[in-house]
Amino acid sequence: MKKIDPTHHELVPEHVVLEEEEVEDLLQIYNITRDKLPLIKAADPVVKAIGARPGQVVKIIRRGSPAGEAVTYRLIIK
Amino acid sequence: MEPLPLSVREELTEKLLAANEKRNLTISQIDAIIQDVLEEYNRVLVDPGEPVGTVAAQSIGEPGTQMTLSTFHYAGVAEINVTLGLPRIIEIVDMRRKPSTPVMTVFLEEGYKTDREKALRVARLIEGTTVENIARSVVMDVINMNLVVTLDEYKLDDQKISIDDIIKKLKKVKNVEMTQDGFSIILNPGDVSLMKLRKFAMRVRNTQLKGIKKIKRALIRKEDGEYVIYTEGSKLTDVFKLEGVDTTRTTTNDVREIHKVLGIEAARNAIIKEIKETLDEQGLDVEVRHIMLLADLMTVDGEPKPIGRHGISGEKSSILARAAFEVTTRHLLEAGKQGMVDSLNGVTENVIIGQPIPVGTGTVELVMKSREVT
Amino acid sequence: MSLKVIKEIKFGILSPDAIRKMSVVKIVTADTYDDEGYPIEKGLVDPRLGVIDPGLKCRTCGMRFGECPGHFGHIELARPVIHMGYAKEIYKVLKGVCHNCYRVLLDNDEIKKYSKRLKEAKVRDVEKQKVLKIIAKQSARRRRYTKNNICPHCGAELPRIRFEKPTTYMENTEKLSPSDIRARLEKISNEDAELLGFDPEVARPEWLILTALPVAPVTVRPSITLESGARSEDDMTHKLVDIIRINQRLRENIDAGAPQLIVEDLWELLQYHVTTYFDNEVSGVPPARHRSGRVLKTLAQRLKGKEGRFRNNLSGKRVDFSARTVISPDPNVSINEVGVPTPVAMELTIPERVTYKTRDELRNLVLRGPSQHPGANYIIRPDGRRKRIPANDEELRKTLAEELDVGYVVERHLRNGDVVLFNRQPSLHRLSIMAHEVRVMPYRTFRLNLCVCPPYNADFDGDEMNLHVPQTEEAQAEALILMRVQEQIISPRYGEPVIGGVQDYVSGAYILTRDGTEFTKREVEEMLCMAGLDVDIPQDKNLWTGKEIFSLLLPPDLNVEYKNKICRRCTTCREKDCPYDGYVVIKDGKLLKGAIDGMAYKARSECKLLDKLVKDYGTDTGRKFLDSITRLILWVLGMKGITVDMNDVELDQDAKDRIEEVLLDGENKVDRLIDAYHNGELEPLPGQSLEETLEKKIMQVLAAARDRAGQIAEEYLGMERFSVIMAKTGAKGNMLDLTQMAACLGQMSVRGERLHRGYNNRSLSHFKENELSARARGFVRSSYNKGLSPTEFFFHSMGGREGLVDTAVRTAQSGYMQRRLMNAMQDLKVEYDRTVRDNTGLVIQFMYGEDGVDPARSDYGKAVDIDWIIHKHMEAV
Repeated sequence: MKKIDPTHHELVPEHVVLEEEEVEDLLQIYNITRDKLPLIKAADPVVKAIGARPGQVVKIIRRGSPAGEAVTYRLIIK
Repeated sequence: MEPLPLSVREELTEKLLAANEKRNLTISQIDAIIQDVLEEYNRVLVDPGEPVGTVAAQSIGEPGTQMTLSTFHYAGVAEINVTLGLPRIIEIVDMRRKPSTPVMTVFLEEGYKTDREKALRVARLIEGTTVENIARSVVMDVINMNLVVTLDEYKLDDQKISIDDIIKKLKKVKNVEMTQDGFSIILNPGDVSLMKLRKFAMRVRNTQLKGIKKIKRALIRKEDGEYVIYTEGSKLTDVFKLEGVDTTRTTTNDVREIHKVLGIEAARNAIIKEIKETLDEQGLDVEVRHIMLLADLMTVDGEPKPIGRHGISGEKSSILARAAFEVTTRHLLEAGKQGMVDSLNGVTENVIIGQPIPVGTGTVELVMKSREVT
Repeated sequence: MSLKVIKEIKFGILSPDAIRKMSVVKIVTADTYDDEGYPIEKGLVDPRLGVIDPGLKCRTCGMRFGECPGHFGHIELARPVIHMGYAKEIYKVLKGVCHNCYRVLLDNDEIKKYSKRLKEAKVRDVEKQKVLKIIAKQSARRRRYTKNNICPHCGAELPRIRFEKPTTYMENTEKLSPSDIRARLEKISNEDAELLGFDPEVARPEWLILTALPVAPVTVRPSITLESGARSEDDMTHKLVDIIRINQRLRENIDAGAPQLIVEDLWELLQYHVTTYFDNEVSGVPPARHRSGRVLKTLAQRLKGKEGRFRNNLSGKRVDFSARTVISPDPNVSINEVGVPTPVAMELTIPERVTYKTRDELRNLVLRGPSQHPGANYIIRPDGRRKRIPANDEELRKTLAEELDVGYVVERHLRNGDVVLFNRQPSLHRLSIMAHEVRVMPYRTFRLNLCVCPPYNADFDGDEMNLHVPQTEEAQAEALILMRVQEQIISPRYGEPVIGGVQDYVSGAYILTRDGTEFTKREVEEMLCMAGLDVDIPQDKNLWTGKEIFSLLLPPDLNVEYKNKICRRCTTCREKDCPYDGYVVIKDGKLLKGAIDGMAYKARSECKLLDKLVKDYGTDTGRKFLDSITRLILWVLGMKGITVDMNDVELDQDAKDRIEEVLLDGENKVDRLIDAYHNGELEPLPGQSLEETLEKKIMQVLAAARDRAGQIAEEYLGMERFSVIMAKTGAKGNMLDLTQMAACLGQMSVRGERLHRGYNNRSLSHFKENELSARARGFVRSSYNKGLSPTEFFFHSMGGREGLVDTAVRTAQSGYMQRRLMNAMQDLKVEYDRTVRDNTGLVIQFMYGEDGVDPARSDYGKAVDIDWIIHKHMEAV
């Protein structure tokens, strides 16, 4: 049986778990608290695949239209 | 000054090199060009306060009047019906549990994608076949209280299924007496009531012989030098498990399924792709940025939420805004009971109470007392 | 402007005490007016409840009609009744609390756990609602146990509770009366109430059961006096009359010690009336009716729906300083302008402050008064008092004008150059309301430049439009900077012009600029003069080509090259040497090759020329170009002419023969397919039935035949025909329309299938049953020019009808979708850090559109037109 790895699918952009300091920086840059970040479920297949835990923030690097490369962040929730 | 995004940087480098080929550019010229591009980029940036949501909603909604309503049309493959036009857009925006015409596009791995035979074999594995699909008729013989399944010779051949296989499968459904007569199978469930016989007939008809459940058809087509399988019906997880299927490109038009299998970011991309393709097919031009904003809004909470009463509009923070949208009284009563507070920072609420709205020029809260100046 | 701002609104439920406290009168009689027509004290229109007659003063606040907001009264209910809107809530509470100790049915650990979760979830309302739902479910679960269904606090056995819609509650088999329920709810502690979702500060559970009923002020339920002098009461008053009558009877019966059965019946009746007073559309309750049988409109109906208070009066408001009339075209007004008829201009005013600079001018306007055009209607004195300027008292006007001094405000007539907002419904996008400059004109219609028709989606078959006058300088400035027509040439939807040439302006431009169009010097001078174009032209040039004239309108450093609409898509493009005017070359502001057509400046399409003008030279240039080109082309067309006639679609015999042959061939092929089908020789396509295959093949064959016929027709339809010019330049219509007129209409269809419904197994009685041939299933082989046979005409109407139905359904569906999209997205805006956030500060995008580019300013969706910048720098050397 084949194992499905969602991270390799072309619809799925790269997800990277942020270090705690990076999260602090991020929150400071945008002057926001954690609860103002977009969310991603801990049960999300990609979150599971990269082994991230609730409370952590993932950095998502979207490639392609129209900026070429854009970065967004999501807070992992239960 | 905002730095240039990657796409502009790449294009600029490429074009500067090309220009240099033609006529040598001096360093100062290149500097000037880069400076100009940077300035131009910063000129075209959105203004703070711009009500981008409203503009996006209008840009997606306005062409709705120009879209066709005919639900079924043929796109991509001539043989598979796909919902198009306005109904499809509404379907995506509503985030229905199942689209009315789920379709998968199955790409194949190296070694399979150029081999017609192998591609066909994968397609057959995908295509779900039930007794009903392959039978010419399934007739209840009420006199003898048994069931006559007459199979279609051509279809059997086409699907490469033998009668023995079918009997074997049917035995699993219910071990009853079966007699084969040419291409007919007579099933005798014994002494049962008419109701029971009917139910039995239903179960026999829907007996899965092979392939993936709920996938009615799988067709192969040659596209850009490779074979691609299109299916009617959608079940990504099962297809991904098959040998030869390219799990990095195979997709479906069912956004919820994509969310389940590939995650929220993939769902966002799927929403953008589906809306864009539907609009393009209708010959309507809408900036991707508007669609991106819509998709981002629909996916902020980690799962795709519909636009409307049961989704984003129903979960708005403002009571007045919700009351003004739909189910007015329920929201007001609930707000009373819970002692909710409307902090009046949206558009509708401020229109209702007659204050400037907090978007556009209303973003600025600086006020000058005019009397005291004169 | 007032500096007071409403920061937030807190909702709550009125307690009986609060109802009594805010009440100015306890209503006891169901009567309204006495025989003399005076309101009865303690009646439903007690004078203390407010004034609805002009001239009277309010007995409570002393204010007059229009000033007094009205005051609440109240009714003491003889027995408590359920508030219908909370019937389900009450059920949830009853299920969730013990009937014995009145504690919530959760053990102490659970209470602790859920209290904590509730506190945490308070930040996000969605989360809070989820927790509340869980608590409701958990607290009710013990009741359903067959064993151990006891209260975790006092150990009492929990009876089953049933809710019978609309307002009955059963405990086992006992009916719970509202009094019992109220007594029970009263004993719930504040902490437990919070777990059940109440905010006990403003909403105690027992307040869901009414003991006192507020009576709305008369100002919200005014009675109307009919022509006969009789008064007709509002629906709400009728309902209140019912409530008071039953309430009285109930009280009397209780006092008289009437049997339980009678009391309960009356109680039920009171419950019914109170229920319908709140909402007359509750399921399971027969709606209360007026004597005439009309269903009454009560509280909930006043708020709900499109015509309800929220959508009709609160989200949409009526405004002053607006006008509406029919629109008509005028190419002589600029796209930035709107022609305003004098009567409108004299009615609408702009308040202008008197300063040293404006005093004399405004005095003059006051002198002229309200009945001459540049005049004024009111003056406002520094103390805020308004004074109407009389129309026929010149003396008084003189004194008023004398009086005028700095600090006064004059409401003067609209005049040329004022900024107004112009709108056409349906307002589907922001371009449906734009700011125009006023141009006062005679007659009675709004005049509009044709180039701005596309964004409004306006035509002149009787369309009406609205005009609004911004009253403050701030609003005017904002309108001028942000909403002016020329600022909207590029649509934010796709970054291409929505304002531009339409119809004859496109075909006219082609006629002007195609090879071979020539004008004498005299003609050119006349044309430019009449078009009002102020350009220098060389005096020594006697013969002008159209291209040279067109070039006069272009900026001198403009360079563009593109393939235009009439380009024939040759396999190898000869570019600059295109023999068909298909390749446009503009170099240094001179149109050298190619003809100007739809590709250059037609609205709502990819237009290379206008797009470039606006994006690279600014909106001013764009506006000037459109203003002058439209006027110029008007005169070109005045000289060269453009018209359509039947000959445009007349083909010669040779063509007709060829088309006939093609169609006959197609029909024969269809017949052969049908034969093959009947003989069982037809091979089904994969995954399709034989019938589907046949249909599809027939459709293909017929479509091919029609296309071929169209192609033949096209060969014969040359550019010398005006309608062909229109189609090919993109002005109006397309070649398909023309070939339908000239050659053959083709297959009519309903729902994408050939026509087959109507009679039993046939479309019309002219054919045999189950006939599959082309002509029996809606293939129209005639052209519009030739005329349709009766059966063909009928088929054509069938196809046409589908289109009509489609349009009607589509408008409704897309309208609703638009409303939902709008409602969901309206609070998103770009912040100063270029993130997109909603009104709670939640980040939706970290950079708008990933690169922060405004689509209306982008270059076809791309951020920067790098080619152009490089080109500019290379040229500069």
